[in-house]
Amino acid sequence: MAGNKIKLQSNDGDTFDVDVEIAKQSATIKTMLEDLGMSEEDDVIPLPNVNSAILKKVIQWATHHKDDPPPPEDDENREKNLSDISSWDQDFLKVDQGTLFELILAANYLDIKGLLDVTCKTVANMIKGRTPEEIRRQFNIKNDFTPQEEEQIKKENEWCEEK
Amino acid sequence: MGCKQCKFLSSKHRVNDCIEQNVYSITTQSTTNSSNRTNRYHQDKHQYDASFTTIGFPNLLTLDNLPVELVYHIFDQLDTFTIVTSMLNVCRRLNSIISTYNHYHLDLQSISMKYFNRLCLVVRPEQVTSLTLSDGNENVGLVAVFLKKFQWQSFKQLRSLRLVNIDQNEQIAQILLSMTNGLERLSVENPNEYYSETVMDILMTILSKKSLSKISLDLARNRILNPSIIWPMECFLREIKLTGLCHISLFRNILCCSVNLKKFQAFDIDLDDEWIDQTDDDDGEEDDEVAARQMLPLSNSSNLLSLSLVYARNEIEKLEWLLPQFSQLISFKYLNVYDLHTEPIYESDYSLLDGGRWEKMLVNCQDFQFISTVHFDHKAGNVHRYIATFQTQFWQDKSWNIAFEQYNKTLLVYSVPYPHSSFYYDRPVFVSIPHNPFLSSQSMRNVTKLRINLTAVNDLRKQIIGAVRFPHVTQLVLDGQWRNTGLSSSIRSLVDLSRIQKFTRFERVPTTIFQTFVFDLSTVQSLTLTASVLDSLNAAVFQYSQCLRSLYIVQLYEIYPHFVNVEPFCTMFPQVQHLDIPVDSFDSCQYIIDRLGRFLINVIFRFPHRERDEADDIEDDDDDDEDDEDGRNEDDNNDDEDKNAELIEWAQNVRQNHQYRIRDRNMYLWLQ
Repeated sequence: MAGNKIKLQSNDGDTFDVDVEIAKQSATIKTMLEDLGMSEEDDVIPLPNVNSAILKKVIQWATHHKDDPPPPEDDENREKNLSDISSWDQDFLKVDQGTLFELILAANYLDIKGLLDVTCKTVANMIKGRTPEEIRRQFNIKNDFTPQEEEQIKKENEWCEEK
Repeated sequence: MGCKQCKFLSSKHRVNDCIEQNVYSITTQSTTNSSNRTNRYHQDKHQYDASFTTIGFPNLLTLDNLPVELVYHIFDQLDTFTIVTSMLNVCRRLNSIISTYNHYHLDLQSISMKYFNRLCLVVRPEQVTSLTLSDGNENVGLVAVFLKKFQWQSFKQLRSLRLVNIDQNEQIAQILLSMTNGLERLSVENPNEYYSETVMDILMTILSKKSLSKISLDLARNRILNPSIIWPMECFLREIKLTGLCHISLFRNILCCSVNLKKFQAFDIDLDDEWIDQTDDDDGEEDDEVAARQMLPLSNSSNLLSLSLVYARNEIEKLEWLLPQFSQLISFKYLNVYDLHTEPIYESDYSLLDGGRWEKMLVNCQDFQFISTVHFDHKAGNVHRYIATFQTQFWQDKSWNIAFEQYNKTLLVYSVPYPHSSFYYDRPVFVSIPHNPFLSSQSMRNVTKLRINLTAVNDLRKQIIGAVRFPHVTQLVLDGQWRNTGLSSSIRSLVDLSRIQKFTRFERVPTTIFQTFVFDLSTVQSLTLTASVLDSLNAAVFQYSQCLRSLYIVQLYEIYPHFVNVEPFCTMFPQVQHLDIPVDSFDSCQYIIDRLGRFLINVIFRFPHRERDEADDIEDDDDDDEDDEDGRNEDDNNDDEDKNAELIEWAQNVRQNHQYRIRDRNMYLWLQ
């Protein structure tokens, strides 16, 4: 019913009142409501894998996208287009890396395809065109190869370094 | 052998083994069955859970410790080139994830030989779900190498296959005969094919595979026009896309045999063989009866949900016979488009401009995309009477907005937004777009290829204020004389130059202004120019220091070729990956290879054609009628053979590790 609210509880105890239709963008919550027979008004839906700050962001995203058409079915041949992120989403995802990855985790846990796609695309944009060394710096990843392995990798990469 | 300690951990052990194997060299093709995504996920999840704090989140979450399933999801957004060049060899864990990722989309078009060889080492066939295989001009001989390296049966997870410009019957037959039963999407693109009947029979047999749900065929046009194509008696396709005209008898067969068909696209349905034109006789009423008797109704037409006719030429009477038979149709596309740059319009079927007749056909449709282009002059009457027929309650209720643009002798009518990717911009004498600022701003959002008649955009900047009219254009062609110094600003008011990836210009240009213009195309990847444009750039001492993906140098008049001066050319464009260039000597070829070879992936050298020789002969031998025809043909054949032998000898020795093809006195080289 339009205007009905449910309560979502983060893992640090905060509770958020959210329109049912907005919350149902999460397939996880939708399943809880529909299949497990949870009532909309009284029960609190606990979300043990999402903290308050991230849940707040997720609700903000879902509220903005509440009228979006359903995402198209996966098409193997669709061009991988990393530039089709709306300007609102681009602004929304101007966050530190920790928050971005936490949003990916939350989108995955809550099963919100649109949010998962746009957050993963944002990370993909941070990867595209960079060298492995630049990736390590960008994401603070330790180079754990031995000197011998590094030598082997160098040989393997000659094909693109000649260019 | 499984793990001796416990069954439960066996998959985990395999994963760890796999990781150990892959940290040293990802290029070693593992014969061990790599664990599937689920096993990797559970194994990885243990590591991931261990890094969680008490409130449920890892202390330092980054790409390196994200659950493997989500790293896969990020990979899903990346092209294979980025995975192989950016993500491989970042760290051991990412290497192990790359080695188990089983959703690769391989696009083997326009790639260098070195990258191809690298891919063959990094990606195993069973990891590939989508494959594009091309034997086109930009990588001649790739398919032969590919077929030597791989067994088709190894591509066990292949769901989508696109075959582009594979000419050889043996190769295409070998590929089609090896198709796995899991294939869901197949696309065969080769507009210049001469496939044997056997290959066509194999192709038609493939279409009956139960798994196959989508096909796209872009073959020689008469293949699809030809009603003798034997469609499989039973197929399970949901979507069919044919590039070409579909004969009515083939269309009947397709509908009859494809019980699951929901979407169909073709240039048009050719009804002519069964249709009796009512204007042939004077007695209209009697002809109506004859037409109705002649045109047997379609069978199995009720399942179709979407019909797209993308180069439609049928008159409205034929549509009035066709459309009502699709009782479930919710989406209809009728695009009557012309290349207005080259194709004069003589069609003047104003019945397509009668909104009232469309209303009756589209009652149940939810989506209607429409373009009609007609010859329009004073005999057609007032355009406003046509506009009014598209402004009734029906069109308002459907929220379908129809725009009219009148040019000198052409009327363009289209649904908003304009539903085609290409648009020819000229100066309209009249425009009627529904009064809605949002609609107006979005009306050209689908246009990605724009050809501009420069004579139409003089001083345009003074007329258009605000956002560019064609915001998503990536391919730009500029026609006509370029004299006005303010023209660049006018073009900028139509398109965002920083988005242009492909740019084409044939006619002469003002040197300094054009140089600045090219530099403003900050993301351009492909230029198509003529030698005269290059001469202008040379006069401005132009140098393009960025890496250019493609450079095509076009001969406007093959009989009188204008060759490129290769020395300044190589200085102008020192970093080109794909080059197509007319040349007059092997010295020029060698010079280009020597100067640009470090970056070149492929090059096409186009030598003068016979027409040039004939033109010379005609000029030289006007008075010499003694040569008999046979003698001339024999000489020509010998010349051809000599020239081909020369080309082959040169091509064989050009450098190590390359593939070549000689065709029509052109040399195609795939390098590196």
